[in-house]
Amino acid sequence: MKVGPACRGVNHAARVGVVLAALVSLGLSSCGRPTDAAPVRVTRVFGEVGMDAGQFSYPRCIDATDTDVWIIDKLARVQRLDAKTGACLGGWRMPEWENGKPTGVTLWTPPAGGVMRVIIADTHYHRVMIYDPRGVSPPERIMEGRGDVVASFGSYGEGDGQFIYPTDVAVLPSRDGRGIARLYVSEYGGHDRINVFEPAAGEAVGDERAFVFRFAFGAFGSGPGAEFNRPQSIAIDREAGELLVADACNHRIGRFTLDGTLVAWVGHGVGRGLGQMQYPYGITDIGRGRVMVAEFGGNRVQEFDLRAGRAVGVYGQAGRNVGELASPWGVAVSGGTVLILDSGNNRVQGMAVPGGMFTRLRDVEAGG
Amino acid sequence: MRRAVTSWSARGAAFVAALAAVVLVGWPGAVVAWDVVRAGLGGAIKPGSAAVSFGLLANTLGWAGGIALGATLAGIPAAVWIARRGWGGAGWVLVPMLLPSYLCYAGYGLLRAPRTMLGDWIEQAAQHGASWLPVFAGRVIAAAGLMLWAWPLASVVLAVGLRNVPRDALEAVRLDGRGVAWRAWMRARLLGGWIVGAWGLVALVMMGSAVPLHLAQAPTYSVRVWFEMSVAPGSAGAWVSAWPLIVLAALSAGVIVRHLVREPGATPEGRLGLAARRGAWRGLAVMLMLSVGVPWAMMAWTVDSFASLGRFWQLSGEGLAVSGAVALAVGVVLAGLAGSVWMAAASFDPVARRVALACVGVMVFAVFVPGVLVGQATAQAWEWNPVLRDWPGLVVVGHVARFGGVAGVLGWALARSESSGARDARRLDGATGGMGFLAAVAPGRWPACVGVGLAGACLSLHEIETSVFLQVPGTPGLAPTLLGYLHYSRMGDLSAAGVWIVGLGLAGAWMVGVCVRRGARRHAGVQP
Repeated sequence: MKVGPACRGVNHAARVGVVLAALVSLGLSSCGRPTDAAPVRVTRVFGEVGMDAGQFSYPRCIDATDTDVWIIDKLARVQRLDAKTGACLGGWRMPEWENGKPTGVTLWTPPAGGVMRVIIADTHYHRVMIYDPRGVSPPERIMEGRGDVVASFGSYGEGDGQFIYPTDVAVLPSRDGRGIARLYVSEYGGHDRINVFEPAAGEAVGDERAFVFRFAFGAFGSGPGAEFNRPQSIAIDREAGELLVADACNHRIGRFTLDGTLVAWVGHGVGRGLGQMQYPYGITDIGRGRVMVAEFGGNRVQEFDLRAGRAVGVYGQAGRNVGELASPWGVAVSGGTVLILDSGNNRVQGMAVPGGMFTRLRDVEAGG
Repeated sequence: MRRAVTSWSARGAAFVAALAAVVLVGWPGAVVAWDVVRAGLGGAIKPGSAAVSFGLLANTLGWAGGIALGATLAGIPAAVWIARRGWGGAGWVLVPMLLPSYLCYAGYGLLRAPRTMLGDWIEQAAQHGASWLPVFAGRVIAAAGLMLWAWPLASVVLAVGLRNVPRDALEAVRLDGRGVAWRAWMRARLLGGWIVGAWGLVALVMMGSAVPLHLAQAPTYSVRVWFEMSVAPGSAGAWVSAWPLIVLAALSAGVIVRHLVREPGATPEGRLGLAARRGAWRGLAVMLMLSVGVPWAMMAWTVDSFASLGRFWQLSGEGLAVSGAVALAVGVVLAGLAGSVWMAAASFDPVARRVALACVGVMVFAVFVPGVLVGQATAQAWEWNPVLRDWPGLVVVGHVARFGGVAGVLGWALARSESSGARDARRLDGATGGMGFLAAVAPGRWPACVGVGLAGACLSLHEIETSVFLQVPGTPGLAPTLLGYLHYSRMGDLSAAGVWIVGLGLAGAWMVGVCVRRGARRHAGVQP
């Protein structure tokens, strides 16, 4: 049988196919992971996927004290765990969750002593809720528990005291350390800004239950001024008396005075290099003007020296092994350990604070 | 009496298909079955895991049936257009299905974003008592979005039906003096089985784990199974609870295989009147606008800035490259798979044909199993090996398992499309082996294999469900990135991504259309 143009055409297709297959193989084999980051020197790991106490279903926010760590996941569970072992000590479930789950949790204990408060940015219900942790349900009853709500404020909208999607809360204690002087609440959703609330009673007396809106700063945008595109996480630098903002979709960290004046932006744009970021979602102060930033898109944690305005370390890379990270949403400090919320792997990994951690100075006072 | 002809090349092609079926579906299925049996014997499965929730089943059927009904009605104009114009234009009809299934959900979802009239009204109403409203709105958009994605599937089935209806019957209806409604009713009666088939096929696809249903938290079996797998990956209890879906997939595969082996009847072309042609073209244009044009325009309108369009490549370029490489690999394998089935099915070797048909049945079964289950099964089958566990190629394996049935059906259909006269002439000419296939059957039709490879590549590029349990956490990939945008309301980035993806998708659809057009040409030269 004569092999004519038809077979030549098929031969040509076969050759093209071989070349394509070779390219694909080359492409897949070279799909490695970046190796410029230092490995996370893990000192502790706890958590795994699941619905039982101490397990997580895509955890999205974290905060910690020296003894406890609090985590909220996509089952809307607020869990209190032992910071060293990860053992669940109890918790509750958010009262509503169908529209979405919270993305920010803040623990606050008055420096002068007093009852701790768990402050939750209930993102998709446009409110901030303050809980008394003594209302925690035992581990086996977390799904039924609803917590002890001390205060709740916020509603949908763009007006004073309203939120679209609140993401995080930072607490400024009062001068005497007994109460709250201010609450800073970050939000996104097209009306991105930082809202400032103060106790309705005026002078802070401790155990505040009502807060009033005072002012807000920032606007949606990507400009060099006070513009935000999803301020996902905020924290207060106690030593410098500044508010730090993880401006996630602008891939930068902002330093602001406590009255909302921009001090500086830190970060060199979007990317994988040192000083660049990909969706910084979590930020925590580790002292001496340094912060640790969890990068959701970069699958790593970066250490920044805010005074120098530059990154000084980067840790972790994408993966599921210990020391690797997958879409970390948050970072917190417990004792001398940085706890990284390794959301995509449904666990927490701890690493020693780089360079050690200085003893905290006295908290910055309002107006000081 | 037909004489069987042993063909080792055809048997080799059948072996390739069999290998694919075993590696992609059979082995993972066996591993899962063994895991479940072992867990059951060890008492690790909770009692009641297999219990059917009739409420959930009713919800699932309602969702799937409702979306399918809308898709079937929406697919009529395109079906009429294909019936008149031929399959050359089918590439354009398939465009919506070659784009992400969540494109319309994302695009139309912008209508209810915060700070829009509708979005603000919904949220305000929710705060004043209608707390169910936001979730309800999301589910409506999810259903509409899936309908706008799936109508091409219905239109293909309806087009086949239209081309099988006797010309005389259609002409008689057209010439009847009674009104439009009566003529539409008569045509529907003529097409009854095909309408049910189109509806049924789309409904079966919608029984799966479509991303919009997952995002909208629709109360369906697949969404529940997805949730159970996500909190307990690979658990025997989650597999047991998915048994209705697996049984349904098996039954569906059986129906498809029965249809494939039916003797083809006469295929007269139905002739439609001029008015029907114009109306069909307009209807098709409207559907394409609603499915592609409008969502794309809304995304383009809501892009933060031109800079964000460039930022898409900075943020998602690596993921796109990885997913593109995976898609390319999937396309190459699917094209080869289609060709293997085609060669085996077109042979005169009954062993090769039976093996090929069995493989097609097995792979079609995997098409109807929800993607999350296909991905999880693939993961369980290969993750025992630490090298394979983190190998990006595992995603390729999962995607080929997911879409292999499409390639198999196409290969079988290509073989069946050879006229009996051409086939007899081939037998008499001695062109019964591999070279005969390449010389006499493949020319002019092989672009269809390339087309299915391209289509498979497009489907792979946007496949999320299968990838969820296969991709190493944190590693770049387009679909997980976009799912993250959808889940976490990063609408600015999503809009920028949507603008690029639709553009790339249209380019891919154009290439598919070229291949389909070339493959639809009749094989020249071998006529009785």
